[in-house]
Amino acid sequence: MLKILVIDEDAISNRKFEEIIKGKPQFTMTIVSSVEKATELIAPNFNNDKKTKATPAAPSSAGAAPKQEAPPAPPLGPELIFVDVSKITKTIDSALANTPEQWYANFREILKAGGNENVPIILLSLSSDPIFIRGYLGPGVQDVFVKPVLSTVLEAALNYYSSGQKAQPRKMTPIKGVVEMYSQAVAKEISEFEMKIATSKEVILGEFKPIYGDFFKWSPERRVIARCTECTDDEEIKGSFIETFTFVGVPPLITKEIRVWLKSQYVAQKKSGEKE
Amino acid sequence: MVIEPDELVTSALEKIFRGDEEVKITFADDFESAMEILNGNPVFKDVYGKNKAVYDVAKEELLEATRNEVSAKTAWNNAAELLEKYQSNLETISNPTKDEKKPEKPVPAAPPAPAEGIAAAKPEAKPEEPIKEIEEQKQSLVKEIARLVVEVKSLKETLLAATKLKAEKEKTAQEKLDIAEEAKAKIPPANEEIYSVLIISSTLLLPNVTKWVENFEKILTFEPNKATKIIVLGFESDEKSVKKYLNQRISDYMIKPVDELLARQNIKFLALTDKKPKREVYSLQIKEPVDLVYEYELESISEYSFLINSSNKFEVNEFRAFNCDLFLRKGQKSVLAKCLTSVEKTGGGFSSEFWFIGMDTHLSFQIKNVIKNAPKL
Repeated sequence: MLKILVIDEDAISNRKFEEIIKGKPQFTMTIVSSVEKATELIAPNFNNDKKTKATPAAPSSAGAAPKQEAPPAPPLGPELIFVDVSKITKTIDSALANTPEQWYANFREILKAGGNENVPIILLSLSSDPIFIRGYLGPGVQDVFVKPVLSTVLEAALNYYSSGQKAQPRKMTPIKGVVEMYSQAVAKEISEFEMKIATSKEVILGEFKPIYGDFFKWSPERRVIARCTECTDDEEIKGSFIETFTFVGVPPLITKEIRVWLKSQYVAQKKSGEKE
Repeated sequence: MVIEPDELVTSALEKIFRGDEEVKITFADDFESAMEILNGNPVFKDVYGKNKAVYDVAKEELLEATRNEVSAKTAWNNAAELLEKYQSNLETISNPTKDEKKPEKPVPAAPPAPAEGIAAAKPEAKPEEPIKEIEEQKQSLVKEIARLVVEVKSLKETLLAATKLKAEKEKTAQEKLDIAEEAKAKIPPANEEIYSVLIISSTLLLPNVTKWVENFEKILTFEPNKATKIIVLGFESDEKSVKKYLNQRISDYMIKPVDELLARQNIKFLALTDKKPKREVYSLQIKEPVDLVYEYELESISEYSFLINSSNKFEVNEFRAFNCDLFLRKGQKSVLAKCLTSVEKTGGGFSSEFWFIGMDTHLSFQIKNVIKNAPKL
């Protein structure tokens, strides 16, 4: 039996989950509307333990009988967790976390206290924008379902996790085409001619690569081509590389945009005293 | 080196580098002349060499014809001289002078140095011999003279033919010499300059850029210029068009009309290998996320995943945003996928399966459509 925990307050989505689970005794599902409630189910003692650690118990006054607390419910022990990305967002700025990274770190602590820190997590998102989704990906996340969740996709996932994560055979259809994969990197330096970036992948010198970044409002559809003119090992991060990419065939409009952006940044930095 | 028919662009380039002592621009009218300059002009040298060889053959033929003519002339001269002497002897025998009652022993005709192929003259009649003998000698001389007349005539014809042939050969040789000299005159002063950058109009690279590059590599023989960097100048600015000009041999693509600052910096950056220009203009130290785009060949697809061929291995469980024209709607930026497996193939490279992440109704529909309409491979 696969124990499923859904952390979401979207009634429509939750009903869909219930409909799919209905009549399938191999699945049990618990739906909660918040991470706090989920915490109570996953690790009932988690918050108490934290309080105890934070404030050591004061010596009880003589003669006073210790207060009897109800024994906590046994941990739920979920084997698959669905969590809406809004739950991650909502808990930011709360006591649980300030960033998605911290949220995942804390949630992992909760799962650890519940007895299994490696529970697979599937995110639920209203947006299908990969740039939005990418911001919420963290350790343990196996998949992301876009709402309204497709029945076939959900059933396939449930079967996959109930069968001990054995991939179902897929009928592959041979096809010819080109797939563009986007590899995340960090721009470290930029001029109107080139960009220095830190990546985990080594690029061959002279190789041309399209690049885009939010700061210039470039997108996969509106991007620039650049040629790798230098590639050295990153001294700060082992296994990473610092690569210099010189822009190639940049349309005049984008050149102008880069200049305006750089100029505004330059002025801003000068005002703040970062640049002499 | 610039090969650009557009005068606006050439004048812009001239203006950009005017007064710059580090840069010297040479403008070529067309690809052929640019290649001659890049190759240190061996094309003209080659043309001269070929024509000179043709002239040398013609000169040899002329010498042979001259030798033949001289030989024919000598043979004709000898034969004619002999004929004259025989005729003179015959006259002497036929008409002895009145005061020569007792004809003295006539001076026998000096046997001429027999020309090759010419029979030696027979001994002449002796005046002491009886008249019968004299008659016989006369008849013999007449016969010999008749034979010599035919021979001289034939040799004269041979000589005329040899003279004519020599004249022809002389004319041909002169013509060939003129051509060779003309080619020689075309050889410009020694020019084996090293060019750092070749800026070429995109139109000259079409229709097949790869073939153009192959041809360029083949024609370029002057070793120091084999490292010349190539910059393409074109009007096209969309990525697909620009990409068709880019390969390992082509270093840059500039959009016309060229931006002065970009052109100056990029050309000098490529040209000056030791002294790279400083690029401090609006240079900032930042820390912003960017995405690099890698292209892979799609191998197969299922409703939930797709398989790609790659030269690199992917980390299992790594998430990647991707795009594929086949099943993403127009305007859709990208979709996420997670690497399920990445295995090395026997022939080299890797085959990696990616699982669609964040699949919505539309994407699912599109993928099903692609599978349904996929041509049988």
